[in-house]
Amino acid sequence: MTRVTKVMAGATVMVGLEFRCRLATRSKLFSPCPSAIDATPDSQVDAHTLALPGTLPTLNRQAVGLAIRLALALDAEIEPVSRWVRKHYFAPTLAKGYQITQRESPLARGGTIEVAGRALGLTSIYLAEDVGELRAGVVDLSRAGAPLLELAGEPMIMRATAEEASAFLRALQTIIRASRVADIDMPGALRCDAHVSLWPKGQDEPGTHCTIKDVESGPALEQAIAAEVLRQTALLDQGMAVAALTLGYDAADDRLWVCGDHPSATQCCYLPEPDLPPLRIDTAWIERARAELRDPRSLS
Amino acid sequence: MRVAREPLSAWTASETADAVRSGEVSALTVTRAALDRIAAVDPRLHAWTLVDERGALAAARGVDAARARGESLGPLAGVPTGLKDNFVTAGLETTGGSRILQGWIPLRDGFHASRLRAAGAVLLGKLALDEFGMGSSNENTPFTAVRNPWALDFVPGGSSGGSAAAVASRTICFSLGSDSGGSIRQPASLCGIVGLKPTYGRVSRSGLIAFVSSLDQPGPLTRNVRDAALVLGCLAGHDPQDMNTIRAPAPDYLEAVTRGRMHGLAGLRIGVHHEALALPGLDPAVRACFDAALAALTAAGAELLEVSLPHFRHAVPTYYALASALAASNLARFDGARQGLRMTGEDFVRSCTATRSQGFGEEVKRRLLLGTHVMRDPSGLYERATRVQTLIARDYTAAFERCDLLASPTTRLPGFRLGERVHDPVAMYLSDIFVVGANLAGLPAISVPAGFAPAITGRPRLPVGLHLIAPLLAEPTLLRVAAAHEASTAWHLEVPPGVA
Amino acid sequence: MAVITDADIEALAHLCRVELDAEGVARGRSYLGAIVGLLETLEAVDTSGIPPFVAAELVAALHDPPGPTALREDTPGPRVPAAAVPS
Repeated sequence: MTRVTKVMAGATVMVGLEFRCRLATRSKLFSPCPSAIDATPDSQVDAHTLALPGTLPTLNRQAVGLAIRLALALDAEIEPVSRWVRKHYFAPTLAKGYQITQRESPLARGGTIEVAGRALGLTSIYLAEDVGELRAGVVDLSRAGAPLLELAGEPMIMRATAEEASAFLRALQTIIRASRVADIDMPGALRCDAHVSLWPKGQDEPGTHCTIKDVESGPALEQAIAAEVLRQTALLDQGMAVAALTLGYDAADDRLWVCGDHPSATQCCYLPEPDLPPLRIDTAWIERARAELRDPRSLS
Repeated sequence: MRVAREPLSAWTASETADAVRSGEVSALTVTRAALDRIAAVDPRLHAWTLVDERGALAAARGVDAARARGESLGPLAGVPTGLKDNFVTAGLETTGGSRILQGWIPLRDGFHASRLRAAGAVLLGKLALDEFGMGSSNENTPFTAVRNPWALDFVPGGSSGGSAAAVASRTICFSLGSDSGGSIRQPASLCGIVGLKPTYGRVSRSGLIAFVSSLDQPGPLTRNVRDAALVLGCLAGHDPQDMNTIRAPAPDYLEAVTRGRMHGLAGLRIGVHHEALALPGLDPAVRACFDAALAALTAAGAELLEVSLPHFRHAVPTYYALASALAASNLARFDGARQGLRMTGEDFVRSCTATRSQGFGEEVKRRLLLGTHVMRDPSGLYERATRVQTLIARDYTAAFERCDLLASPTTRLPGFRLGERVHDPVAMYLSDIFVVGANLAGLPAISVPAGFAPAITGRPRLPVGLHLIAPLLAEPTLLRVAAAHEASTAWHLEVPPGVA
Repeated sequence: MAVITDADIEALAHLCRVELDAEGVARGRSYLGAIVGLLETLEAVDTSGIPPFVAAELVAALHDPPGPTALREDTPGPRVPAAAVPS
């Protein structure tokens, strides 16, 4: 359902989108722990998921293969060498105290999601392990360690931003479904973060952005962005500053809420991951992934 | 062949395994004797943090039963051993030497306990260490500090101090330690025994509590070179659970030892880095032992030459930049939410902070501060350290074009008293100058007994170690040269007077 | 020589989730001041054109027969029993 979004006169809405797609592997990204998307709380953990001392990561080949396939479906360029880093922060959902990811040296660069002639450019596509979930103060590590493919979009300047963001999300769902790399119809298969800020006319730079995290459907994304634009507009209209917040969106109640402590980029330390070799992807692997894409019967 | 009237505590691992396999002695007898000796000797040393008498006797009976059934027994059949308490052991508390992991009882063995048991070894218990491997004296501990069997008010070295003291005091003939910046070789030297750090990736790190992930290697501490070869042979090889293990067959390490003992060192070139030797502070007795060791090697046929390691002065700062950052990273998982110590708090930040403040010792906290500083340093200190690490590794590669291995003393001093260095971490760190380069370059290295610093006023007679570094995967060269040296000396046969 | 202040130590302590009393902060400041001075000697080294050392690549170069480090097959392994998961 669309709604009319009131925007400060002359202000441009800036929306950046990041998507995370949970790849449909049988085991987790860095351990052989079972990795079903519909697991019950705490039913899917092993020594590595629990970050028991003495455990080491082992990279799931199938996860890489699915990542290559989706990156190709998005017309991205596969990097022959990509590297792993540890992103450190303390959270009850992050058992090791760091998340293994590839942000600075990603598996693929570029790529596009196209909708009716408009294109959302992607800057990087990279693998990362998922973190656990926190529900009413209780930690559930079933999801921790599941393989995610992160898709980082370029920042955009648009008018009907909320609707287009929603259209991009739905287009991505279609691409993922066709490439058979995820159980796309299951809850949690595709999550979207939207970074929303306003750029008032006459200002040198866009304003502070807020991030709405983990939105799962096109309609919800549209409503969430619209609500956030309204919220920031109201603040600026009253002469108040927009604080950098991390927000969740409750689609049922059409309500934004402030998330618990989420580490900002400056709070996280990064180190190259010493336990994993650089990921080397040769042309043979890329060609196999391309063949899988072309064959509609290919198994994921 | 074993002389029957010598006490079991004098037998080597090879001799013990041979005797158990042949039926000359039962595994149960050997294990009981080891347990008795621990009870007699260790109260003065505190090397053992946990002794599992029941489990050990059951394992020994298992070996004897297997023999009675006619099954073939492994290369370490019936040999009692202990593991540094940063190796994961099923059913045995594994603390990492820290309060923060007190009470953690792993469900499954790590790689090393599993391999040693499969080889027939009998696990007697766990051995004391500097907390999480951080230290060179075994004084960084919430538990009791370990004593050097050669002089009870002196340190055994660290961080594998318990592993070294247990072997030197002859409660066991081999133990496992871990070496990130000299932590097997330095205590081996101070305790007058053999300590071997393999090539990085030669032995799996799965089941070893991580400290400096890019440098850590498990390795044996033994009383002679042949036993080191025997134990290495049981551990070396690819492990799919550690992606940084080398996928290459392990050579016959025992054959290298035999070759060294029997065939001398003709044609072998040994490089000596005189610039490091000339640094002030090298104890004259250590220097004398080193010169004598070189004389023994040249008498066996080796040729000496001088080498240059232009970046050696940067090895210690490079090591501490990497080690502190990786320690901070690897210890981030200790937040009280899962295993070990758990303090409560209003929220996760508070409970996590309370747990870590209570659970970590002083040295660990210092290194966490340092490591966090390094990780966040805007000028890229960590990355710079890894580039200097490349330069250091290239220095060794260049040196090995002209020689087959490098020799130095293991430590600059033959030892120091408990409490003497605790307040001077920088002095402690700078004493790693001979050993830390091998970790940075991933090279295999060994310390072997090379004599004693004679008793002087204020200092008793203390062991001195000879340190050898070989090229990547050249453990056979190390073992060959170490064996040749051992064959022409008797240092490894001496028993600490306090525990005879 | 680096100047480390009490505020620096307190900030670092918070970042690594360790609480220090006043004496701990002072000891931390003195320790860090000394060691960071030692680490800063690395700034004098010319590292232009020198790649970072990657231990994993050292290992990969030693595989015999030569080849890349193998990745893990996607076969699920055992879970930890629910009773062992701390609440």
